[in-house]
Amino acid sequence: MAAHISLRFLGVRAFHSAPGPQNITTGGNTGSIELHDGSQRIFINAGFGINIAGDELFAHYLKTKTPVNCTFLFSDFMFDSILGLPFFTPIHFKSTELDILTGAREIDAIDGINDAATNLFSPFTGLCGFRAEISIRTLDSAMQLGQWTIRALTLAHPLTPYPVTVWRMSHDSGADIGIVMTCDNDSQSMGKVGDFLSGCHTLICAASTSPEQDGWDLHRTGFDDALSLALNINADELYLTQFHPEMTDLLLQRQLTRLHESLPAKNASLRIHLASEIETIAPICSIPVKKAG
Amino acid sequence: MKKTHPAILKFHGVRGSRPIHHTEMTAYGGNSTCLEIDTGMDLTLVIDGGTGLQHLSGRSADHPKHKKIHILVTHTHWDHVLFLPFLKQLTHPHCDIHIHAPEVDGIPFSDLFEMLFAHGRLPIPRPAIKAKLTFHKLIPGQNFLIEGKIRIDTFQVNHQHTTLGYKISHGESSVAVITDASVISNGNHLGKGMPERATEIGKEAFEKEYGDGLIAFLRGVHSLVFDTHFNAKNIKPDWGHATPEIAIDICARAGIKRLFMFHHAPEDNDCKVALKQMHARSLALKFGIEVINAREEDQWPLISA
Repeated sequence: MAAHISLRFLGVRAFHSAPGPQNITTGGNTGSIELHDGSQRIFINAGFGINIAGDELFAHYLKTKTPVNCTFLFSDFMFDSILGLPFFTPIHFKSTELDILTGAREIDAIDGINDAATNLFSPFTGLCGFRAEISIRTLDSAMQLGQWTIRALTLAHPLTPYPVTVWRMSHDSGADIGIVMTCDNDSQSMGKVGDFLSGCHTLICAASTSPEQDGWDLHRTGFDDALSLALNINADELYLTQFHPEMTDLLLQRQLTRLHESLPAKNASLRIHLASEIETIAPICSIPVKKAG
Repeated sequence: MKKTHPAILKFHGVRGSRPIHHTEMTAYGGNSTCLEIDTGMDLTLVIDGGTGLQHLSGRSADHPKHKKIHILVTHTHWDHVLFLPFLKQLTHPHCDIHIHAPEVDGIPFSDLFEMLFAHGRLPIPRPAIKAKLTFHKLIPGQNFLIEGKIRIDTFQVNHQHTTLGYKISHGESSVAVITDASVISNGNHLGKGMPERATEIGKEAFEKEYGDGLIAFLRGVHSLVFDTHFNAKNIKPDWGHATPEIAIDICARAGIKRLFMFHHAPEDNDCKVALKQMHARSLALKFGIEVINAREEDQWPLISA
């Protein structure tokens, strides 16, 4: 049995964009993920990678006159998670409907979008300057969206005045995906995340380890945290993303090799992947689902 | 008179609007705006702090050349300032960093810099910034010297808020850098104070005043880095950007011999940027102007005019 869900990593970098040939395999745009089950199109975060999807959706709208209708889930409102939103082309069109979900308060989302689109730093004039119909909601319990059941776990984070959100997305077809884009890696937070995501077969987790001690990755999950979490929840698939901008393809590949080598024999079936922007509709055209029982 | 070595112009980020990573954009680069003028002095002189600034961020803060950094900010749009808080030298207590920038709507750049750190939007807490940080407020038309030897002239160009074009002169080397500027005609007056000035002296008089002022500002430089975000077909003048045609016309009128086309649109892949250069070269031939696409990590000696 397989759920026909496509997953795209539109952006794989934390902190800031890192364009260049040294990152050609993984990518250099700030973080954004697209999940599409043929009906619902859901984006997690809106780093600069979101523009690619925005341009595609807008082109489809011009061709078919089908209005853009999609959902955004935000893990946090740091610049690397939200600066792409004002550049998401459909947001400037009246016919577009955007549903924004956050585990934080609605006002935190409004402040975040307004900071990203402030006239002081951009040609935009904040949330009220967008022509799309935008709804912003706090998700404090499970919510049904088409065939998806979306759950949010909010956690305090030392660098933000608002809580950050970990998402669990379960699909009627059986797919069950945990998404950890921004999370403090202290034991208390990781314990809560482990409990929340227990049983997810796919884990998408930030691996923001820096190549040197620059301090940016403090209070962030790194490669080892991601692996521990995947083992803790007994995941089948681990996708690593939110890479430090200085982690080139080569350095990331070394980390992946190290993780593979450190896998305990009993967990050897865990498949670990580096997220990649160039695999446009793949690798998950169909997500393997755990057999019942 | 002792002849000095020519200054070197280095492109670290050439993309406008936003940084972009794409497999079809690796030849010219996807980092947003950042240039460096290497004068050979023990300081680093940078124009703008887009993501291209990360090419300088890894440099050793112990080297005398990298301890003192002067950053000229053209304006505050994201593509020009986004990397500033990430500059690693900012965390070194023995680094001396000077940021020269205009105000935005009466707000000093120092306040805008602090705003970047507010509300938990960055992974770097403000107390991590330990360098000696000095902000210098610039007024359009102002000129000043850096370390008594590098002359900086400024000119307000036609772009949102207060956006400055810079002319940098050191020894016999000089270059003008105008990263963002639209053509000023038919009432397309975007900069702060421009609509008011047009009302005051009349639209046509203002447009002539601006055009003459820009040419006078540029006269005498050998090389110009200029905004060629759009082309003649897709230009949206009120977005505040220009075309190769506009840039070449300015060069011809100001007697400039080398044009670096800059601020490539994030929608334009390598092929489109290369075609833009081919087209511009054909237009510039009759004026004897050399046209070069700015390309990330390219370096050019600045010849005297």
